[in-house]
Amino acid sequence: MAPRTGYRTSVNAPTDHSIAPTDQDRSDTSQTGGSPAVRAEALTKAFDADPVVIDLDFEITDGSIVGLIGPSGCGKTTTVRLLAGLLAPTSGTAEVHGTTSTELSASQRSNIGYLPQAPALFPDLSLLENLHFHASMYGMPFRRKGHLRTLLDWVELDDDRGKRVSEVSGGMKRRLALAAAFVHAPRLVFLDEPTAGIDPILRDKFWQEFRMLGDDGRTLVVTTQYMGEAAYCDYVGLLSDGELLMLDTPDNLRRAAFDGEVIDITLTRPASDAELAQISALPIVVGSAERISHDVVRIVVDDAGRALADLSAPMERIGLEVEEAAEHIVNYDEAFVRVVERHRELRNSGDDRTGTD
Amino acid sequence: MARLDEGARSPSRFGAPFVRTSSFIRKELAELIRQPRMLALLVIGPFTLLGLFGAGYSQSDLVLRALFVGPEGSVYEDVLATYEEDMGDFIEPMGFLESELVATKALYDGEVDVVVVFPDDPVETVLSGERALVRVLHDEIDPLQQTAIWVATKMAVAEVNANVLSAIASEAQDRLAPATEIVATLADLATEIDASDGDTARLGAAVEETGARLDELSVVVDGSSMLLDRLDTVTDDVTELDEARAAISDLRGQLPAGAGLTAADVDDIDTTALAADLRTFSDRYAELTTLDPAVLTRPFDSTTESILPVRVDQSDYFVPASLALLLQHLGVTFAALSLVRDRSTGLFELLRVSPLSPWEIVTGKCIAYLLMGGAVAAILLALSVVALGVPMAGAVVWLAVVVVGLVLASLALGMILSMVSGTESQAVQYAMLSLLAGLFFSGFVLSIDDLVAPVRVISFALPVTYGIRAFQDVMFRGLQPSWIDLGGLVGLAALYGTLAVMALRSKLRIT
Repeated sequence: MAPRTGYRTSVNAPTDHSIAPTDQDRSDTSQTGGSPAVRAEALTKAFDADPVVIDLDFEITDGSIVGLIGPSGCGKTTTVRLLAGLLAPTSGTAEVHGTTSTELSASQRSNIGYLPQAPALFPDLSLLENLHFHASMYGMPFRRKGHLRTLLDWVELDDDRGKRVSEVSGGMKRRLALAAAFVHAPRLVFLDEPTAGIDPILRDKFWQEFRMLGDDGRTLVVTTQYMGEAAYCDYVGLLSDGELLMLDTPDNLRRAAFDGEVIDITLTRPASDAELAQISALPIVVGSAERISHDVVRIVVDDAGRALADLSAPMERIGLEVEEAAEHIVNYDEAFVRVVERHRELRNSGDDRTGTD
Repeated sequence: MARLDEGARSPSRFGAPFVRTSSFIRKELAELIRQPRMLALLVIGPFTLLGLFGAGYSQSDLVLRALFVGPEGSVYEDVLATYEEDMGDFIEPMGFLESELVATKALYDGEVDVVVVFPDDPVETVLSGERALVRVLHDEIDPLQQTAIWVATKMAVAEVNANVLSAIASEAQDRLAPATEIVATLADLATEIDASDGDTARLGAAVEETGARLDELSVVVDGSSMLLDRLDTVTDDVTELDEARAAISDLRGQLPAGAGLTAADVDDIDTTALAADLRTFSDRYAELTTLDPAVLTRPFDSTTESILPVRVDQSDYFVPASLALLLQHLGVTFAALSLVRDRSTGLFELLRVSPLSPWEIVTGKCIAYLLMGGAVAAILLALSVVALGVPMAGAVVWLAVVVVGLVLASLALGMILSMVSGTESQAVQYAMLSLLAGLFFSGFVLSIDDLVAPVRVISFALPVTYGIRAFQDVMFRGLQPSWIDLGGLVGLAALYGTLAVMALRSKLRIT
């Protein structure tokens, strides 16, 4: 999918992640009247005429885990705050289950969880007392200690539940804040960088739980700077400079970075420029061939498996002998950088044209 | 792995608001309990200050060390010596000097509090129809002390005036003193007149003696009467003197004029009537000279009797006011700081996405701080009554009602201040301003009645104003608080509470 802004994308939960909804879920779904969990339409936010989020259009259906990925300052947090109803858009609309997010009723807000980037915790209260506060804030009945202990256990803080927040590390605070966001079993959760400062093992544990919650029909909108976490998401939105460059499945993100699948071919000798041009012109190659070392050429194809099987003959016709060929698995960092760079190139060339005109 | 929502129960429709409100009650109380030093300071601090004040306060400042200045050899020194004892409550005489310059230097050096300068020639001034002016010099900068000096000076001068008048009256009394003898002689002469029946010579001598005595008495009484008239003293004694003058005139009219009575003159006299009138006169005016000059000059005295059920001394008086001011300050400070701190921790961000309403937030915080403020008030009041012996004449239940109203109104005021405070230091500044306003405008130091009407509005906008009066009514008068004060507290709590909720709603509004 070519990166572009202002396009409409509908995100549906993959069937392999869906489970049969519970009675509670059915009840909640009926209340939403079939509206998507989250919808943004031409969503724009500017601070002092400085646009931070630009013209976002997308829908997220119930039961999806959507990751918003991008570098610092790209507009992830502002997007989440707009969707959660913490900010009013400069233009456009943000809706949660069909209601403008800034006009949600108390009962609608009871079904939303939110983890802010800076955890709002009370340093003089113990970890358990902090959770109690959040539980009360959402009107949860007083007999809830077991549930709170389960949450603390999930974030591996149960043994420290009696400690005051002022006595624990930043990472522990982050984990506690994450537990607090789920304290009332919300149907829709906005998590702003939930895994920042968390060790990889625990991060993996969190994502497994997110995955289970998603499978349970809950919707999670998660921002992260860790591109690798895109793999845990049903859908990934790439944000850069306030624009949504693309919103698609993780696999499609990697494909989109190069407009296809990537094969690295190791030749018995370096290819000349003329030979490289001939490779680019091969029917199996999408786009141009690229020399990434003196005897390695990278090509992009539609289907790596088929291309690998059919590669030798056309290369021999050019006069090159393939020593080794293998699919290059594009990591998310690489894909992200590629997409952003291409977007910026496109924008700059557009600007140049506009300037020329 | 246990499911995260395992054990999570949905809130009930009716119980949820109560549970949500309880979130802040529990949180605020837990935070307070975690600060034992602050709690101790809340109780021990004010109690210690009240105890020190009660133990250390004395009214010695009301007694002024005075240096007197006047002409050498003048009557002032004698007068001062006379009234020094009487003036002990206000003036401690430090000496008598002729030089005002020397006395003023002593004032500058702080050796005395005031210098009293008597006029050089008061008699001439008085005779010219003006009052002699006594100047009092001081170097006091405290307006309250200036007022105290003014009052003390006025009272001292009034006492001097009274002493001078006493001296003058004594002089009049001295001149009246022979009159008692004359009156007694007149009684004797009446007996002589009765006894001289048919003896013309004896009767003539008695009548002549009577006439002479009446003339003498007339001079004495006339002089004394005129002197008292000059002093502008209107008393029964003056009236009595006037009546005596008229009676003397009547008696004199019954006697022939001039000296050298003839037998015919004596025969014309109704001796029976004369003797009877002389006896009546002497009986009527026998007590004329026994009156105390002090009574003539200071006919009224005063004693004060409190109708209060308890005795309130100076240090007791400030306890209810101090407690009221402390409770207001406590409520305002805690509420103001609490919401500002919540905002700085990012809690407002969560509140905006949570179902908590501004009413629930304000109510939760108010209940928590009301419990804390009520406990502090109960401990301080109990300690004041038990340990400091501050009187408690009224019903404790009314005291509790006042504490609830005062703390609630103060909390609501504090929440409004928190809405206009950007930082904790700003909130503290606003709280300090409300404390200062309480000191100046609540009647704590100065009477509200002394404030002009527009400024008095500030007094009635402060919870402590009603709190002080209500505490004093209950503790010292044994009454229930006035409905005006209770209504004031309830009104302020409702007004400020509503404004606080509106302001909080505005702060939580999404922009």
